[in-house]
Amino acid sequence: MNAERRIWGQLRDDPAGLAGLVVVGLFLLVAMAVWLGLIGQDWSAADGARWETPGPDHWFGTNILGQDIFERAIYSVRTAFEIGLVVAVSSTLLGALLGALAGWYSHSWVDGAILWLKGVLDSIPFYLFVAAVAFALQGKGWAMHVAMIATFWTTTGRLVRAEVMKLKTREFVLAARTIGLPDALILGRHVLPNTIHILLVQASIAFVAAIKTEVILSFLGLGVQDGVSWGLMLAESTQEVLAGHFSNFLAASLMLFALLMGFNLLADALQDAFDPKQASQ
Amino acid sequence: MKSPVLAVRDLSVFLQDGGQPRAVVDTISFELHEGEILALVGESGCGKTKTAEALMGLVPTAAGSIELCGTNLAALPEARLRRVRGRDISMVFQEPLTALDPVFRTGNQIADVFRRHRGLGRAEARRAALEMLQRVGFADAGHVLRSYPHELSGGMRQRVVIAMAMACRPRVLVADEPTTALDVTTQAQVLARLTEMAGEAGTAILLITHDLGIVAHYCDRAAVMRMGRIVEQAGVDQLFAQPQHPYTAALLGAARGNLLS
Amino acid sequence: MSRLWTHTRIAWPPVALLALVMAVAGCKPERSSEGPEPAYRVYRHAMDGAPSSLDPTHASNLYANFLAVNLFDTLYRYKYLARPYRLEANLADGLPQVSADGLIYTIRTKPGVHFIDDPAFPEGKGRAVRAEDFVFSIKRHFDPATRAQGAWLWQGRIVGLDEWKENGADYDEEVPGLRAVDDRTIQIQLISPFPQLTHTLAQGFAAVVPREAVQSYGQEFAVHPVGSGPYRLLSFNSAGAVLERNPRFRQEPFSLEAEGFDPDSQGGLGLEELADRVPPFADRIEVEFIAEDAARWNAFIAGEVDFIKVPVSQFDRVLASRDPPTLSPDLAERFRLNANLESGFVHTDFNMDDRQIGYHPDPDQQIRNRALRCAIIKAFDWPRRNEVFYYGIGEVFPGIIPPMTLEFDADQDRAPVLRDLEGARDLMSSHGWHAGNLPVLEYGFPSSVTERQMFEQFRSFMADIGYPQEKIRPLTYATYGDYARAYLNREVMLTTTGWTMDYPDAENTMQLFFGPNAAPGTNTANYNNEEFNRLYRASATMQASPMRTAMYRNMNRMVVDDCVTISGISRTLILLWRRELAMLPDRSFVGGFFLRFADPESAGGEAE
Repeated sequence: MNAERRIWGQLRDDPAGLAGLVVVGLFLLVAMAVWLGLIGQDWSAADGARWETPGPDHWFGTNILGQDIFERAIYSVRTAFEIGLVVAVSSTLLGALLGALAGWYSHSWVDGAILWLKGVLDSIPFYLFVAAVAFALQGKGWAMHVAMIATFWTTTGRLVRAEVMKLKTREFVLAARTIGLPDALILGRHVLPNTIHILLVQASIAFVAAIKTEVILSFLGLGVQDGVSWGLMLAESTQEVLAGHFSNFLAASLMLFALLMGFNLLADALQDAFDPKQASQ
Repeated sequence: MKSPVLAVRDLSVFLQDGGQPRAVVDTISFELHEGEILALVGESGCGKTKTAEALMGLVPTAAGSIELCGTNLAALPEARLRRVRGRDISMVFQEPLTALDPVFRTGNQIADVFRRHRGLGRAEARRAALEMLQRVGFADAGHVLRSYPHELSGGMRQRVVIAMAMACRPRVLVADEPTTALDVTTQAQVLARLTEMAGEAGTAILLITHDLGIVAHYCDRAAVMRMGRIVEQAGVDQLFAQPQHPYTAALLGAARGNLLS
Repeated sequence: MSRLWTHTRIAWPPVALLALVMAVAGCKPERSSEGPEPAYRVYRHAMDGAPSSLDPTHASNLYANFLAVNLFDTLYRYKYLARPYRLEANLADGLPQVSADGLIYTIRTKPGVHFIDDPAFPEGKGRAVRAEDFVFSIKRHFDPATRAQGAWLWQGRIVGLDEWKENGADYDEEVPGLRAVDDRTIQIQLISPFPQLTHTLAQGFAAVVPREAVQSYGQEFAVHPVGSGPYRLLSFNSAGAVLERNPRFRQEPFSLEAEGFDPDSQGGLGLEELADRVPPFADRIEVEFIAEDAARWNAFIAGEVDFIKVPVSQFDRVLASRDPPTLSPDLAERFRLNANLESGFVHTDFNMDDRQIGYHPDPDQQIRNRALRCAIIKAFDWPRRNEVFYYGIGEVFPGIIPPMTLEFDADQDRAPVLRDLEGARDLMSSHGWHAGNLPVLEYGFPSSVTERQMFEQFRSFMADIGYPQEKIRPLTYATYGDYARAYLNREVMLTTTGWTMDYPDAENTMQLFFGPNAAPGTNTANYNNEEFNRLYRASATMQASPMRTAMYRNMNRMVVDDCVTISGISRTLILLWRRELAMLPDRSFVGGFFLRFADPESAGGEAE
């Protein structure tokens, strides 16, 4: 039985995980469809009246400008996936790389330098750091990506470092050395792939964290600059709920909730399925 | 007599043990000649495995020399050592499962050796790996080539490890308890295949074991190790007939006791 | 709310003590109500920001200015009720006497005006205010040690003042153009005519301070004001300020006529009953600084403050109708409303310095760029902008002379602010513009929800003439300061700003488009039209006259014809206060001057 079939088999027996997979899959489909220009393209057009209530023309109603809130919420799925993927992939790769270097050369100056960097980044309050990066990168849309990648890697790095220190003494790594493979190759081909269970779980955590953080940063005006996101919609809603208009708030928060919930369920199921201890049984 | 392929002189290995360095291998010396099988015998914790790791350069050598065909491995920089490892000297580990990378197909792991030391391309290396697997006795080598380690039985895994170790027909093979994890019938098959292939390639084997039965059956000479030192070194027949050191005698006695019970 | 409570508790003891002292001394309050309690009248005012200093030389914002003109005296003020705004003598005895060449201003001050009692004076008794005090107060703006913020009002205008600064700002050294002829006579000599000079003397910046107090308190003067205004300070912190009537303030009976009362629009507020009484009417003023909209509104509804500038988010709830703005019935039982049209306007400038949209060395391209700007202006939907962001109660007007100025022309052609999509498309196609060759527009704004919504609305307006969405990009800045730095460096293609006038004279908006004022000056459009510049120079030294007004309107037309700015709208502020209070609050030039006329007691009309 190969690994894919085994993981799929485990997932199939986990109804919560399956539900999560379905939800995330649906969101992914929506994101792809937006990407391909099939739906959500009219998020900017202001062709409705101000604050229309939900109806056949505007399913979720309209915002202050008369823009369709459903279109905006749908387009925000793409924004969320873009940010989630970029941050999750980059921060996990960075964490894997630095963590592996620190673990492989543990207690050397390389390890020391990486641990120092990690310590410094961890000691800065996150939102303060993001705000500082956003200010430094003045209005650049990717400021928040940089800030998140720069801070999210540390947890992955710490876990990978510990795992690599353990793997380093495992016989197959010694074996790889006894057949004369260079360090980089051993790290890249034999050590890091064996941290995949950590990387996958960390990437899924980073994905969720990135989406949440985007919402908070956009809410504060430090996030998405061009386009629309659930965070921007929530920021908009703060000026509306007091006046009794809830569409922006409900659309953004419910979709955010659904995606995060689905992703958490899926991540839990994946974590169980990928556990290497179960793989060897 | 020809000069030895491996000459170990006054080898010591220290372990940092709570601040106080402790010699786990203490000024040992031995030689290994072409085609010879030397057993390194002793209880667990006596320094056998550390000796093997020192030979492979996996732990730093504190003192002494390890001359492989006249080159002192202990003095080689890591980059040059890498070229020697796997080509001139290789190793078979005790636990075949952990000696193979669980997330890699076995074929790729063997092919790595060829690509690294023979400079073969991807397809060629794969073909060489297939041939190697056939030589270690797999009838369906093509299937094994595509398998992950956890999909193989213990004996099959160990044969894969042997294929890797013997891929470049090394001058010296260090086999650290290669069959301890296997059941008795498989043990015999694996050891038979190993010694046969070594014989063909002229590879000398340092066979680390605590099983005196294996020593008696497969080895030419034996060195008895205790608390980091070699206490006795002799031809197998002589050792079994007339152990010189009381520890050797005790070891033999224990083994016989085992056989009786 | 809790802040208000704490504040009141802290402030009470000295007041109680004062009341006791007054009772012992046998001083009865001047006016007593029918009831048995003494008439101690408290007016509680809410502000959406706090001043950091009460020193008039730092009265650069609305909040500081509001308090400064109550704690100190200015030579002039604005008439309480006259609209458009008109000047009135305050500490001065009358309007200045101006020499025929418009260069020498002679101003007499009123007799018998005293500073409040303060330990800074000999024996703690406030001495008489002298012309020399005014001279000292203006000089302070040119003293680097003061770090004053008002020098720009008089820079390069008064003979010898700039040199005085260069010579080391020695207060004992005379400035030829700024002299106290005697104790009550001030003479100002200008380098060239400056018709707006009198307006500058009605600002908090020009308030009169005594040299003794400035010297004795030093830095502390910022929180220890000593003046001759209608009120004196009891307490001041970041939550609020408490002011108490200055018992020595000059006795000048309130005159409806002199203040410019208009019975048609201002009748029924209870103002008529104030006639002939002597301001200040309130014994005590409590000013609450509540920055948060919702908190301020809640404090007002709960009756904790008497006045509020209604947050825009509450307009829907507060207004029953928009034109004219009227209160919803439930609120009308408790409150009164004043729709205060701002003296200023919001507009979006094209950066004429940018070759993609502004001036171009190639005359043909320059013509095409102008056509594009005009098309963008035609595509801008002012009614919708007004509706969405100003609740439809802002006043849209063409050009740069806002409605609250005397020079505003109510009969001018409104076509420039009417949406004309067809005309815009024709203009673009006839000048060879199409989706493929349109330039990328970079629209700058400081990152905030409303600013972003305005940008998105602009983009949707432009979509209606086929301007591709991806060719209109946001250029966001973390703070307003960053944004201002960028447009002052001419880095922003489309700059949206609001201008609040310094004095009610259209010269103050004309200078926004005067070539030599280009960024980093106030001319953020970097407009440079020689004919406009010539007219501006000629009109700048003229006193208000029909001829000058004609020149202004001519200049206004140039800005409109050259399609330099998408303009404009004057916002309407909605001010609410408790019905029982007889007053007409104002956020514009009258600003803090109205406080002395606010009467918390004379329940004008039917209460509750």
